[in-house]
Amino acid sequence: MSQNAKLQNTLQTTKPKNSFNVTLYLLIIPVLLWLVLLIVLPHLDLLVSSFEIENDDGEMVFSLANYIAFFKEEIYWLTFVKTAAYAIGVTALAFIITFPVAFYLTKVISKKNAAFFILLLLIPLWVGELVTVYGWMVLLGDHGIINHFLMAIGIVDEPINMLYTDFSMIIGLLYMSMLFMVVPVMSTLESLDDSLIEAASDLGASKWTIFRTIIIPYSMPGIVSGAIIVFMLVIGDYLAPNILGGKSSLWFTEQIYNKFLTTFNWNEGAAFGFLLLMLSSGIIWLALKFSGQKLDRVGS
Amino acid sequence: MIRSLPNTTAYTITYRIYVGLFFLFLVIPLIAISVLAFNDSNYIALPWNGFTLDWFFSATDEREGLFADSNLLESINTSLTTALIVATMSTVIGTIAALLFEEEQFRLKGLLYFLALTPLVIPGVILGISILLSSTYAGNLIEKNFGVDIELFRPSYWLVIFGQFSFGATYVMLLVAARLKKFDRSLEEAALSLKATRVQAIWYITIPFLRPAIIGAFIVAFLLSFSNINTTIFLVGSDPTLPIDLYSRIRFSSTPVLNAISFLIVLIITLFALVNFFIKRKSDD
Amino acid sequence: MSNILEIKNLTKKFGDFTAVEDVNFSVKDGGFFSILGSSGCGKSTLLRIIAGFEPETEGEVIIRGESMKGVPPEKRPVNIVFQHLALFPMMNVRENVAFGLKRLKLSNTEIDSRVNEMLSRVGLEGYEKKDVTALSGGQKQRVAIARSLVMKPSILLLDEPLGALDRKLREHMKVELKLLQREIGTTFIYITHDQSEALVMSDEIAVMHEGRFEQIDTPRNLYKNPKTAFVAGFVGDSNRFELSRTEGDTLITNKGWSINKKSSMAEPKVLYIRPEALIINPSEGLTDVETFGITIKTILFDGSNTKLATTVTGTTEELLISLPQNAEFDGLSEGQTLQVGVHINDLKCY
Ligand SMILES: Nc1ncnc2c1ncn2[C@@H]1O[C@H](COP(=O)(O)OP(=O)(O)OP(=O)(O)O)[C@@H](O)[C@H]1O
Ligand SMILES: [Mg+2]
Repeated sequence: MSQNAKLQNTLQTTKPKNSFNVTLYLLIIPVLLWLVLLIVLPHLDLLVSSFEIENDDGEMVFSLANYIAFFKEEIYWLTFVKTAAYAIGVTALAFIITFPVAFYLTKVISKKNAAFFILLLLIPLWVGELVTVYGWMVLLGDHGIINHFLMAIGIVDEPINMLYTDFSMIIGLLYMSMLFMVVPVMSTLESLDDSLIEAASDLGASKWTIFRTIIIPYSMPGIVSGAIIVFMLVIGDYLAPNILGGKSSLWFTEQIYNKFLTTFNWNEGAAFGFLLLMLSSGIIWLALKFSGQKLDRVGS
Repeated sequence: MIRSLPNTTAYTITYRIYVGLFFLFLVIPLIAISVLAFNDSNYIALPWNGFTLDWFFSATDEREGLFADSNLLESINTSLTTALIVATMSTVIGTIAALLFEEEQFRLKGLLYFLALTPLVIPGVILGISILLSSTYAGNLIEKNFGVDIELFRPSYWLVIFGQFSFGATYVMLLVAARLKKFDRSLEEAALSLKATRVQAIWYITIPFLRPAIIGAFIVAFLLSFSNINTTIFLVGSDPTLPIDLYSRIRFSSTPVLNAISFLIVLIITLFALVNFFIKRKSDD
Repeated sequence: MSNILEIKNLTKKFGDFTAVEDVNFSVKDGGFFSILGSSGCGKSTLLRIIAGFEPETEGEVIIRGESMKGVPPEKRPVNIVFQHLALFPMMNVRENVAFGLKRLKLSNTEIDSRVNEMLSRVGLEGYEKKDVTALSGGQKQRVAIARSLVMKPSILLLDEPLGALDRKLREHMKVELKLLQREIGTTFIYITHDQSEALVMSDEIAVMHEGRFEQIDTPRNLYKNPKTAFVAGFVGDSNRFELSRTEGDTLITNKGWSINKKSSMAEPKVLYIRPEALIINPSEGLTDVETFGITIKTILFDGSNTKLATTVTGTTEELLISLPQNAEFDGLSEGQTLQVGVHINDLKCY
């Protein structure tokens, strides 16, 4: 390379190289602010706070006391385990209940007819949890609508105790979360080619075999996405357990709520919060790992 | 089994009944609250005592209707403005994030993208307490060092907004990115070839293409904010949002005015869904 | 005339894969330069490097004597017409054409006059307000070209712009495009995999194969004197024969046909003969013409492109011969034998 050409080259690298970088900074700065200030730092603070207690001088010092409190007090870890177990159970129930409906809307009836039912599905989703939880409270109470009808027809003389039990809590949890299972399952079923089912049937497969060997494996990505969202919503829900659940149906989020807003022991609350976060991300991680799915698929 | 395969009548009928029961399960709480909003009774229960609009319009001490209850109106107002601000912020930042992750290459992109997705799987309660902890910490730090108390760092209107925005942006990002994946990159290159700068190309070509998704995402963010309680409950200050207000009423002082407001929400959402439905149907024809 | 574009030792790698390999060429101001190659050979990549959408791995792009290294697309004096046109669907015809001028911050009156002039030049006056999605294929094509030309680029890059059109329209647009280029005098660099487009329109053609340029030449030379076996096979139709050996001036094919040629080349491997180079029933006494007998197997009727499928008498070599559609040959039928001749310059060995 000649001297001149070399010089030219160095000149060019110092030229405003390209506008691509400007755009990158313009885009990345607001996103960084969002993620660092509202996601990363708060969760770091959660972690740090969970390892701190106030000593006698009013200073914050490192300690495992918050976690020890959790394991020592039976009610805490029992609630924790119960919350996890119920959340898994509700997720499974949500799948069992909604899958036939998702299948019906995508494969059994025509697209035009399905549109109306899909609209119906969306309304409770948009109305919000509080209103629907309140609706169940009105229905299930001792003086609620269901008991009123049961007694009016004479099936029972005394109201059945449904509200403030695990039963009403599970109804509430199911109701507010199951539609998040329907939507992703429907979108995978929509892309399932009818001729696969026809071919299987043509080859002599029974309904159950088709269901087990074709439909379920095909819709697995949608099921996993739905299950993750349902699980996350249920495990982190506060309203349904609090309003519909009884004194005995403690939910772990209620423990966190009490620590923060009733007893004002924020550090112990932080430890509980962190445990819940570990539980939910751990189970979601397992689900993703065993299904080989990516996190961003869950959102779509 | 599917449209084209024959079924026994028993199978078809059982299936239909099941789906029917499912939809009954779905609408029954909404119908129940709506009906009781018009019951001429001081209790949220049957029997039916006749039709009344008291729970909307009455202004007596005994029956304070929705439109006479200044606290309730105040919290509706708070929720609406909060939702508008949250939806706007989420839409702007979420769209920027979608553009960033779909169009740019940079170091640590994978990590940032992962972080942007985490609000999908972090329970709202956790987001709430984390933001409460860190903002209190920041507030205390500032107060100690500069002697000023900034309201933003205490449970307050603006803290609620930031809390809801922290996950709203993720949903917007996913919705906008889904449409961006269908975008023909050569349109942007064509704009560059026609001497647009990159920012101009995005502004004049990409954003108009994304408009339907952006509008949809704005609505989703608005509804997420309007109905949120899990995160809000930890961050709310002296002016409660509607869900917070309703929550404390449900727990401590239920009157059928709760049904009235619930009915209004159901009504608005249903009308909105119907309009959406017919617009869609029209554009499909 | 000076060179408006010079490409020096240009190489582009995607990871281990080399899409463009050591390409060199230059284009004269006002010229129509085509790059001809089969799908996937790297044509679009080369064009995108010139336009600035892809950084080159090695080498240099020089426009009007200035190196384009590090210059972003919007700062280069070139415009591109995309393979799939990339018209902005959210804008009407006028807005599409005016888009680039607005970015240059020209006055409204100037934009209006330039847009109007360009639209009338491509025959689209009256269509200003139309939605681009409502246009026919040919009209879209014109909008895409107008949108780029209105910018008065030094060089217009066109990436298979006629690829999406049907055959009839393509034939028509090809002529129109050539006339337009002559009229306005902008340098065109035109990518295509359709040799007829390249041959009809270009001043010069580069034949590209697996990222390399095989030959750069005028259309006539490319057709008459292909420098490599690939070019001979790629440009125009050819009969191809594998050679087993040569004896003196005699070429002997694998299937035992021998034909004389004053060969200057040592040990050629293949022989190409174009169907239209074969003379049916040659008159006696032509110099340098080899004659031999063939048997007609079948007649492949295709209008002006009709061919005879034949075998060379005494061998199993198959040979396609162009059949002029005049009354002289109307009587030919399958199984008939004929004498055919070929000028020794039309025997191409590699
Ligand atoms: N961004 C990229 N990353 C990796 N490989 C690429 C990229 N772009 C192009 N290639 C590869 O480079 C080769 C040349 O591609 P190019 O688009 O230039 O072909 P082309 O000649 O324009 O083909 P066509 O006629 O089909 O448009 C192809 O094998 C393609 O797979
Ligand atoms: Mg190409």
